[in-house]
Amino acid sequence: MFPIKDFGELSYFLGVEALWNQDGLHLRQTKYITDMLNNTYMLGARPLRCPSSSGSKLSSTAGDLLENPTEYRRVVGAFQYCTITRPDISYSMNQLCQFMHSPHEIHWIAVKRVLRYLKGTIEFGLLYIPGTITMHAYYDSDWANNPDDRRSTTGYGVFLGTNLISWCSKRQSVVSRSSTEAEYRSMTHTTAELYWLYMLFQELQITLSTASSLWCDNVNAIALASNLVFHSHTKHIEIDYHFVREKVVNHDIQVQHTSTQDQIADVFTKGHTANQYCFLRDKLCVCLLPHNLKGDVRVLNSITTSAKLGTIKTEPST
Amino acid sequence: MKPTTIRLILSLAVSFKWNIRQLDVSNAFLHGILDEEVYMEQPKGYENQTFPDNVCYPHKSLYGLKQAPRAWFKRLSQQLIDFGFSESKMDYSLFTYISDTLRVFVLIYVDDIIITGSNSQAVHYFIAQL
Repeated sequence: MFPIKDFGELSYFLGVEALWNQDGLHLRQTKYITDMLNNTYMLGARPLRCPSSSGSKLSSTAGDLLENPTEYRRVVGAFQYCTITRPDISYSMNQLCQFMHSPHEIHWIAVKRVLRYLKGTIEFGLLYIPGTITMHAYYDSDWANNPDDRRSTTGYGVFLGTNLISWCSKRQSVVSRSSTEAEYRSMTHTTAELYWLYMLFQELQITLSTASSLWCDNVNAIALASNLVFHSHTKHIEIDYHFVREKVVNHDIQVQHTSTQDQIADVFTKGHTANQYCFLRDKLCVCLLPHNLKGDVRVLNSITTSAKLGTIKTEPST
Repeated sequence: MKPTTIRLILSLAVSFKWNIRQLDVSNAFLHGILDEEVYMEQPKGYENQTFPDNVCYPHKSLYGLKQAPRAWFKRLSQQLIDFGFSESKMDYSLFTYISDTLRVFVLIYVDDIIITGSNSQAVHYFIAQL
C-alpha cells in the first residue's frame, strides 16, 4: 500500500535511542544531549552531580537582566525535549521555564548548572524491565516555595511495575494557605493523571491486577481523602476533595503513606543535596545501561567520570 | 502523540516480552488524498506548451501544502481502520487491534511508526499489508 522502510527492532525513534539487553530496554537521548552541549560549547565543561542546588529558589527579580534572552530561551527550550527520557531534570527545567519572558543573570547560571549536570550524565536514560502490570504513583508538593508569588509546586511520578512512565513538576495555579491544601491539590493532579492512564488501560483492554496506589508523605491529606470528615477550613478545595473522594470510594485508587525519605516525588518539587539527589534518581530508574545487572558498581562509576566529549570508554569488568 | 503514551506502550511491550518493530513510510506526504480544491502553477520545466497559462489541479497532496500532514494522517488512519484497528480516544496517534487471541498496538508520529503485538507473525503480516 505504502512504500515502507522496515528498520526491524526498535532502535531510534523521535531522537530517543532504544538499546536492548537481556534484562530490558534502555531509553536515552545521548545524541540529542551531545548535540545540545556541542551547540552551547559545554562539551568540555566540568560535570556536576546535581542539576539544581539544594534549597535554591530562583526569584524573577534578583540580579541583572540578561543581555541576550534569545540564547536563554533557545537552551531552555532544548531542555524540554530532553525530558522524554530524563525525568531527573524536570524540576530544574520547570523552574527555568518560568523565567522565559525576562531571564536574569542568575537564571543563566542555573542553566549552566543543568548543562554541566547533563555533561556528566550523557548516557543516562530510563530503564524498562519486565514487571507486574500495576500502577503506583508518588506525589509531593513543596508548599509556598515560589518566592515571588508564594505558590506551591506539584510533583508526581507514575510507575507501571518498576518503570516510570509519567511524571510532572509544575507550579500550582493558585496559592495554598496550608501545606495540607498544597498537598491535596497535588493529589488531585496525580489522581487525574492516574485516571487518564486508567482509561487508556481500559481501551487497551488490559486489566490492572490491583487498585493503583498513591503514595504520599502527608498524613493530613490521606485523612482528608479517606475520611468523610469535612472541615470548614477545607471548604474552598471542595472540588478537589470530591474528585479524589470519588476515586477512592470506587476503589480506583488507594492512598497510602510513605516516609519523607522514601518520597520519590520529592525530586520533582525541590532542589536536593547531591547524595539525596542521586538516591532519588536511582529510584526513578534513571541510570546507565547496565552491561550486566550483576555488574560491578565501580565499573559504572568509572564510566560516568570518564565520559569525555560524548564518547565513553568502558573498561572491561574484572 | 503524548510522550507518556509512548512510554506506556514500550513499558507494556517490555513486560509482555513482545517484539517492538519500527517502520518509516517513504515520501509520506505524497500519499495523502486531497479533499479540498487546490490549484498550482505548472511546475518549472514541465509546462504544457499548448496551454502555458493553465494551472494544475492535484488530486494527491504535495510537500509544502498546508493540507499535507492532515491528508496523510487521514489516509493512514483510514487504512488502519480498514484493517480492523480502532483509534484511541485518549491519544489519537495510538491504534489498537484487539481480538480474543491477538493484540497489536500501533503508534504513529507523522511517518514514523512503532508496532508491537502479542504475536510477532501477526505483526509481520500487518507490516506486509501496509
